[in-house]
Amino acid sequence: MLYSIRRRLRKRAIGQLNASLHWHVLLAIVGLIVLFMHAFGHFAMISGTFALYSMVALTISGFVGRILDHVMPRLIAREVDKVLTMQGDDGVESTSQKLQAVVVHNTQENRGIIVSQSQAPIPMPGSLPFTTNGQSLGASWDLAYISLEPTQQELDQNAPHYRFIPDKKSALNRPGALMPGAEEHLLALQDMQLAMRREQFFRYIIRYWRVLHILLAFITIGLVTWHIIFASTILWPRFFH
Amino acid sequence: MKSTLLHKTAPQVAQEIHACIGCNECLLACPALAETISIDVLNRETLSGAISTPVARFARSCYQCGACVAPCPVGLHRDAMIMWIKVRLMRSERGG
Repeated sequence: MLYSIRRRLRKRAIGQLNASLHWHVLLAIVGLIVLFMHAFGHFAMISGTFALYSMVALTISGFVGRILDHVMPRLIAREVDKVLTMQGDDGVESTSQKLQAVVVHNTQENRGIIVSQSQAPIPMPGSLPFTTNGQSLGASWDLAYISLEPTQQELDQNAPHYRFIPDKKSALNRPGALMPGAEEHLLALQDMQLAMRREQFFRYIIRYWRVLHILLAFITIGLVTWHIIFASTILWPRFFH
Repeated sequence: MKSTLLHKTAPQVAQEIHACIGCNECLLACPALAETISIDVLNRETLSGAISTPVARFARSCYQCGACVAPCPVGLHRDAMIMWIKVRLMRSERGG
């Protein structure tokens, strides 16, 4: 209680709050020992037993809280390290810019390929009937002219020049095929987003564990007060009448 | 859970340090600080240069409770500044 009050006081000296925290921990341990001695193995009184249990829970939550106070900031720092660049800039922004540059570069490159393909004459398989002297006659109007034999394109599916013909076997269907170099940036972005979520989770643990500890403190105060009132109603007539 | 920027980048930390008026309120409110540290030294060592032993000890003991944020009269985030020292310390330890 005193520690909580001291935290809210305006007049303090550097290090005083740290000393108060140490006293707070020490008094919690001493208080628990005193309470066990006070109970002396008798747990018949419900109010006293509940007060003791809540005190035990409060002390355990305090100890776990101290452990979390040591562990969580280190974990947070590790996650922050993943998200920041070596210069301390925002890693997400930096990677997004790199990704944007890769996408722009590859888009321009692909557009160039499409243009060059459209300018080039379309080679037709020699076996098909709608070519004369190497000149294309355009698409056939008659479906009967479409051969059931595998076309040159189908035969050359694994050939390097086939890679720009999109079908199920085409390399273009692989994610990231259109964007060489982008995949690693996407993965880095996913890692950073995961790190930020973890950081937020660790911060939530620190915050809500403290809330739990304060809640348990209030419950303990309530139960101890109930126990004091209950015990005084029994002891009062015995001592004064 | 909403993915937001919880920490601060080095340029943001630098901006906050420049805005610090050196009133010591953050250090007075800190339950992790056990020894006297000058706010000027802390500000100087936060961004760059060598980190002295007391500052490193303080940064390691900081548990990011945020008690330093509310008393600051100019609304700075000392916890974010200390987090940057923590990251710097971690990187220097990793680097050898």
